[in-house]
Amino acid sequence: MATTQASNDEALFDSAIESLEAQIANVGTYLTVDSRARAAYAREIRRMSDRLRADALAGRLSWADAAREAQVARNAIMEVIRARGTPVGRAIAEYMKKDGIPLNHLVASKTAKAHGSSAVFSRLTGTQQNAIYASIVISAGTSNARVTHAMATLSHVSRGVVFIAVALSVYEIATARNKVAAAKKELAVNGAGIAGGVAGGMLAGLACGPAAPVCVTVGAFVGGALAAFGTSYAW
Amino acid sequence: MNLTPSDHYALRTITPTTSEQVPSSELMISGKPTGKVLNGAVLEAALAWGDLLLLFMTDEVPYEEGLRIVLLDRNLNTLDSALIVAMYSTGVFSDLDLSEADTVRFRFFGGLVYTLTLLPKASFALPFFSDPSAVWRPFKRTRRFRIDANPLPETGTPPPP
Repeated sequence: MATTQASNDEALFDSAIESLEAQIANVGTYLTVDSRARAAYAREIRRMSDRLRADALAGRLSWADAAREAQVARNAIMEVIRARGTPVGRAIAEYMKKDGIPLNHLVASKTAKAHGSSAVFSRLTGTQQNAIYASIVISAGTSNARVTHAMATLSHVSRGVVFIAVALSVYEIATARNKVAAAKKELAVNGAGIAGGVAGGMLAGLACGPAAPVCVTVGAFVGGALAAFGTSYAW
Repeated sequence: MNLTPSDHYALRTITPTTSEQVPSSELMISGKPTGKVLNGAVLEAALAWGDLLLLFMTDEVPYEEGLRIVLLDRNLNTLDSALIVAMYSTGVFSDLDLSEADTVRFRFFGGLVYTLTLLPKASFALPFFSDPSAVWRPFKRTRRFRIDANPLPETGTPPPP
């Protein structure tokens, strides 16, 4: 009786440790997905801005139309990239009320910067107005360097975290008596941890609203831990 | 002590904004260079608080704007700084309110009102945990100003009867 109880406790302890190990893979996956989404974002907005600028310079599009199109395209790319990110990354962005800046506001602020705070866009010459629109097209292709640097750092961190997760799994397999069974278990527990993390984040987003980054992060952690624990214990 | 806006200050671009490079500018006082180089491209507001100077600057990335806040002493040494920025989000610096002593209220990200409170001396604060979301500071245990963010009060008019 006492032996059975001790064996159950040991199985629970092992499952808890394995679920924590799976959290490392979960965190690594989150960081990797969000940093890749960021790189895609910077690339796509630059491509869009360059294309519109080339069209306007070649006379295929007026500068005003290029600025309008840049405004729409930039917001569309942002929505697509957010959808490609993790629930946690999406929640952080949405908490800040992601509404794009209105084109009229951009025109007014660029006009004030270029010609003084009392300048009125409608009173500028055609050439001056085109220069304002051109600066908006260029701005639409610019991402915040500080954020990009931070995400590049996270990308390196994510590789380190994934490496640790893989190293832990390799150790578990190498020290197991039945290596094939241990490999299958590691795959199942880590896979469940990652899938549970994504599902937990999404469920928390539904429960608390998408603009609740703390709730979504906790949901992702709890979802990943429960899924990994359950899989490990059931194994 | 109330803060007072000053129009003697301006920024001169040193490195312009790009996707790869954080912009930097030299602080100018009454049109004269000071040699003080700060990150940021556009000076949104310069406020005097006694002999200290509080600057609000943006990076000129209108689709993913960040707001830099820097507190300088009379010798232009940086006493404290903060950056408000969030991925895939943009903000507009507006609604500056200086009506309360030692306090600056402003808006940046939609739906939030930021309150910056200047502290008479450096006070302890836990790094990472003492600031609202999207407020980033250099790793330090003390600070000279506190930032709080609160949701804007609902102002929707009731439906007609």
